[in-house]
Amino acid sequence: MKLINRIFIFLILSLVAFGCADLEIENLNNPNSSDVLANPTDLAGLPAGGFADWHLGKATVNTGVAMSCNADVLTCSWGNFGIRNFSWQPPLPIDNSLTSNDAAAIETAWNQFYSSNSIGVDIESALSGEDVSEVIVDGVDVTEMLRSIAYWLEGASTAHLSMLYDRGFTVDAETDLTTLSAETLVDYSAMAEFAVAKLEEAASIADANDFTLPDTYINGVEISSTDFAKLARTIAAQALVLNARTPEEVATTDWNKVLELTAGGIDYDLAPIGDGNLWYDDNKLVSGGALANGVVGNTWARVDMKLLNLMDPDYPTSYPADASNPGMVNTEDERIETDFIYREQVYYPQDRGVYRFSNYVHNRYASDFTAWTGRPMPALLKAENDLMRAEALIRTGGSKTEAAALINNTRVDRGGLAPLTGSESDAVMLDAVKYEKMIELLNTWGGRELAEARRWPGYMRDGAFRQLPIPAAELVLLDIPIYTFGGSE
Amino acid sequence: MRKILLTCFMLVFVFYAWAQDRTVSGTVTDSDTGESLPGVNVLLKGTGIGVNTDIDGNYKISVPAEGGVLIFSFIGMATKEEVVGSRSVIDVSLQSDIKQLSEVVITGSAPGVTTKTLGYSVGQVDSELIQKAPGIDPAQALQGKVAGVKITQAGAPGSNAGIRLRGTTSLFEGQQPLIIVDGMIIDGGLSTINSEDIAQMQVLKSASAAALYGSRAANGAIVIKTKRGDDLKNGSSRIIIRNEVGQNFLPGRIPLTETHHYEVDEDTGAPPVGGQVPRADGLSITPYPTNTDYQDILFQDNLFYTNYVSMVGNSEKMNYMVSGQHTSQPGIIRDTDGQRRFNFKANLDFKISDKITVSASNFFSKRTIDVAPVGPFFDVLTLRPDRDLFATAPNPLNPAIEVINAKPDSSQQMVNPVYVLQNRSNTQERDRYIGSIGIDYKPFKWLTFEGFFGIDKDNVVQTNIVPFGYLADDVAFARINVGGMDVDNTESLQTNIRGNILLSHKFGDFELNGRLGYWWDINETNYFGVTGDGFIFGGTPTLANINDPAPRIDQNITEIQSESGFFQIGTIWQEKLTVDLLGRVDAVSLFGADERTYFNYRAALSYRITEDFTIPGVQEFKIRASQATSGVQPRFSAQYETFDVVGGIPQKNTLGNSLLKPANSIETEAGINIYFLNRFDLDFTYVNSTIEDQIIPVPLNAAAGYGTQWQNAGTLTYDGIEISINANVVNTDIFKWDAGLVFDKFNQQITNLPIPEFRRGTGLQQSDVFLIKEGEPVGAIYATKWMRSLDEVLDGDPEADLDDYVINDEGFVVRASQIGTAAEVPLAYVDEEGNTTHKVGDTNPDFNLGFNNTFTLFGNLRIYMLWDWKQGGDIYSQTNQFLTRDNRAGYIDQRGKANPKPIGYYQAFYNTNNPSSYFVYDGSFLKLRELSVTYDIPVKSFGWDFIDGIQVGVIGRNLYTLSDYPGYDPEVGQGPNNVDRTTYAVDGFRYPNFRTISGSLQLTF
Repeated sequence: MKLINRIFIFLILSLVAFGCADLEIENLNNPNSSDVLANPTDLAGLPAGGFADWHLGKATVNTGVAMSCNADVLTCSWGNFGIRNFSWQPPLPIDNSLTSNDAAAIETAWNQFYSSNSIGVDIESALSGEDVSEVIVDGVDVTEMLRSIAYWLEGASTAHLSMLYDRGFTVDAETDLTTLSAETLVDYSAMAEFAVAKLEEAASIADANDFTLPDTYINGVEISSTDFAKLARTIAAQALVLNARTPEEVATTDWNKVLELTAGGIDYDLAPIGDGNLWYDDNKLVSGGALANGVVGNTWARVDMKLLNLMDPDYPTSYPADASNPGMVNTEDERIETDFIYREQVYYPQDRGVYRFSNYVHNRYASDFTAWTGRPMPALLKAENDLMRAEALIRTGGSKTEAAALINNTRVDRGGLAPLTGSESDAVMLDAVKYEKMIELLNTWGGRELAEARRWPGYMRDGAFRQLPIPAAELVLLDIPIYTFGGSE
Repeated sequence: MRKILLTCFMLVFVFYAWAQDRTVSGTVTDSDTGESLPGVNVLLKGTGIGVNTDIDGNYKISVPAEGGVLIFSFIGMATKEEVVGSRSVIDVSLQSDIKQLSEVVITGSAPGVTTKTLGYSVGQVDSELIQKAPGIDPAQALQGKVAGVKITQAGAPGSNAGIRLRGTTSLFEGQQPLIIVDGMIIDGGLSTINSEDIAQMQVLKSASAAALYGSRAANGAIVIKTKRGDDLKNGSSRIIIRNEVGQNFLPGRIPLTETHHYEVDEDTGAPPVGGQVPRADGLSITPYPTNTDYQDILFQDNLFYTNYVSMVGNSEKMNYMVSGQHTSQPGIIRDTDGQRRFNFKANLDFKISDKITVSASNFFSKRTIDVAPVGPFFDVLTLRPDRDLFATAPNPLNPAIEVINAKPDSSQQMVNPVYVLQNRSNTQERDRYIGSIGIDYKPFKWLTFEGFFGIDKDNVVQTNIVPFGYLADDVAFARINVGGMDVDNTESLQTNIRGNILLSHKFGDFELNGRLGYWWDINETNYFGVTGDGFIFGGTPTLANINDPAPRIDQNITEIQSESGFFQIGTIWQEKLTVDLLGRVDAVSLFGADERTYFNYRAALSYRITEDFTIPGVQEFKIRASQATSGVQPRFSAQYETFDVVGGIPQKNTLGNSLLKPANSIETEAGINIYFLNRFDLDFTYVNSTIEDQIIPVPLNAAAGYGTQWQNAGTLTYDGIEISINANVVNTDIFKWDAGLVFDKFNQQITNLPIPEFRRGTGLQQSDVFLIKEGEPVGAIYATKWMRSLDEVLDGDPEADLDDYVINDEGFVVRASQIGTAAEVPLAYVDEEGNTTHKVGDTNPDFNLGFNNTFTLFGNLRIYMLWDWKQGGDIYSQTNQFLTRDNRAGYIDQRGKANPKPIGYYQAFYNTNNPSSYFVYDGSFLKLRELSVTYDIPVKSFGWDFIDGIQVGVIGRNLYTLSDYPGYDPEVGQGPNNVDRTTYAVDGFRYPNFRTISGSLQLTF
């Protein structure tokens, strides 16, 4: 018996031992979502992620460069980031399949902007839920600031999605995510409307309150509530202006609304500071002057001949077929010296098409470095608001003198070109708007070049796509047949 | 090859016939114990006549008048022959022989169950076989020796080999089996362990065999036991000193063209640097004025060596095994040191009383690895061949100093590989301690308590320095002229705590064994990495010497806890019918909060037919079947719903899943083991496995903000056969031939994939050539396919006029109007549905076959060779794709071709670096993997008493490869641990596998 007792004791001991292990292990690397959303202090940390996602939607190497090359604003022969496939001559349809090698170029912006949107939705939901009624950080009530940011993120991300994709979802705290389906998709103009409404809501809260966005939100930049409202209105105006897919659609733009929004738009350049982590702008590096493969004088993308032709109408719109160097651009525009650099050599292989050649690089932003850490990255220029306003003034029959002054802000101050007076014809003035938007705003944010180029008659070649389809992976989830754009139909 | 094998085995099936007329009798005993042996087979040589010894070991047999020869054989014993002569009584004692189907206890089998009664298949490699050519990495010891084991050599010194046991079990979590060394479950691979200390490797390749390891076991397990003092006789000791010195070689070179397709500069006779103008005909037929194959500069034949000392002793109360090993393996790349490793091992066992034993195992390894980054492999192959890698120029920063040119071709991305290797440094320092202590307390014959505590502490520091003044821009984290550095530190600690109770009792013919166990495992890691660019002062490559921008920090902490309880029952009836049952419950922190426990089981049955029936010529015939379940655990972060925090900024990561559980493998196997003709040992296994509830990142609607959620979805299945045959083909005093043959063939398929098909690769840039798709195996290559028949033209364009197309001399469809012109290009296949991507290859081989042979002459000269044959299994050569892009591949040379092709033809195959069928190659090979010749100098016959043995040897590894694959070696595959390198066979500028030839000297005292 004694022995059996001992065995039982041991067995019981071993059972007691069961339970030694601590199975509730926290993931110390990343904060738990539910904790963040329920904790006011953590909630105040969220906007940084939402702004970073919004920024990355425009600043990663995917989407932007390939779109610029498709739009004949930039040119490049390299196969990376979808660039070569998006810019064949004649154009090919976008390979929007599950096995596509260009998937990243199609879906990166889609995912980044929706990620940004969802953080806006999270904040909006948390503030209207039971867990969080007010958020106090360092003794300051930031509840209304967060509410404004929530709408801002929803609006700004949807604005950019509306410029890029033919359709999408409009999502806010009222949306039941489980109901998203093919039926709840809306077209690009409805997305723009939603974006404008959200951004106006964000602006009105910002105008009604006094707060300052810390420089950890949009990295390195402190923004007052007044300036934040201006930013919202400029992006809302972009959503309307850059919504047109064709020159014909420009006429349907609500130019009076653009006029109203740009009146209260930005009067400063937004330039976040690079941090080496999420705040970088590879779109600028690859679109602009960063060295490709460490070869001095060699760069990723170059400036398309068509864009150079805007600066010098005598300059050929396509590279000489025999690959002979067409020489330097002859222009009065001083920016040819400050924003562009002439390269004697073209490093692209001729086998990949001489039509991809160019001797000019846009090196305004990234001339000699590959890391943005600590550097300002111009992401939205006051000039963009000015030029949208100028165009709206011309198209609504408003003050052409004011329009001329707005155009001259960069045309004269940076370009050293002859000032406009306002007495020119609408066509001349619109042409000047187009010129400034294409030259002055070049490479400020990814996706802009296509959204701009498609609005002007005769700029884009036939068969080049004018917007992106919903990415194949998302279509399959929604059970929608995969479709695409582009190619010579 | 097939013929040779067939002939070898035909030779040994010999039939006997004879006559007899007098009687011989005697007793057969075990030489170790002196006990009599019942059931020993006594055969009159050259006849079919034989008897078995009775319960007391006695036998009686009729022999011819002239006597003849008797053969005594018994499972687990060395066969002995006795010349009868005029004797009428012959008593024989047999010695144990581990090479036969012996009673080895397999880790994880139920107590009391040994290989003799085991209900499932395991692989086993013993010390004797390992020590014939002890590799620096013990994974080499498994190559070609165990059926169902696939090893992909790593190439670079110190890197872990890719290992897969049987079929693919997982879509995302890799295939690395569990590794257990002296009872400790270790992470981090085998490459720190040295082969000389290994006494035995057991490969638990099946779910059945590994079921004891529960939710971690679906990839199987490799159990290593190191040598201990109890291998020696009581009261004796032994010192072994072993040295091996050898040379590394890279036997092959990748063929490169010496020509280009450009107009030449009249002054130099070469194309200019940058701005080259192609010839109008597009033909690469002009040789560069000078041609250097930079491979001959990069690869060097370096010396390597290994020194090893071990001391082993066994006394009544205590035994020990203490060893030290030092290895220097510089590899084959110039200006790198390769691997240097110091290992120490101390195994101590104490017999405190008849009832209590204490065993301690200690292992410490310190090593440094300095190998080349990827860059040089790319640069030597793609750089135009007319550059002088050693030409110097004044340093632009300090013109007083001459430096070699960092960018010999300033128009291209390639950097001077010599400059890179001489200036950059990339080293890994690793310190590892594995230690454990175990106590066995056996109060009664039928009861044992086991306690075990062990730790594996591993610290790896990787330092990558681009010095101040560095003139190239080939490193992402550094800047030209001011350099930069990256330091990554990973510390990990694994703790295993175990308690087992073993029960054993015999009830007449019935033996009942049981085990109850409780295991508690903790696995903690802490990684941090710091990256900075821009040194302020030259000559001070430290992070403190960087301030603008401030260095960036990354950190990752993980902890995994698991506890398990299990029972095992082994019932054996009359030593012939065995039932082995196991049930185990795991509770693991990696599982979702609502799925914290996982149950798995094993049921195995075996029956030894020859215990009941006599089959002529068959000494042992066992049939067996088993079914078991085991799991694949989710990765650490998978269950959590978190924000990713980078630099303090949150971003949505994955959507959490509280229902996440391990993938579950259900494996059924059946097989036979036959020992026949006293020399052949056959193991045949059929296995069928279904791995359901795959752990996959299921894509979510983008609007949710979370890109994916890890879910249990999808099913993989595989089935296959494994055959292994071991034989003492010839066994005479003068000549012995021992052979082993292993064969396996597997078919696997993704039978259910509820998410959209997706691409996967090795993690290298644009290596996603594999498509994970329902109905396909893992390893299916999908790519642009170049048409080879005119019918294919009509699939994509039914209206096409076939007169417009022709098939060129290389078998590709081209336009009739373009053939022979500068515009000739291959045409991509488009099917009826308009699909442009098609299945063009599969990396899974048709079969694998390993064949090892040991020939022993005069008892002291041994020749050992291991052949390895892989039939089928494709390779995707990213190397050739890049060589095509840069117009450097050997086939681009058009000189002397009857139908030369323009450069655009090859550029079409390049396909803008997208997957292309042109770069899919057959990966079949036949390899002489190991060859060793050893000679035991007969020291005793010289009267040398101070020494017990001197062995000299010559060892060759990777000596000969027969393959059509145009790369360095058809054994390719690279990538991180969660990539199955044996399946994702992409060849992309990796460190090549190389050949070694060495001499060894071993002294035994």
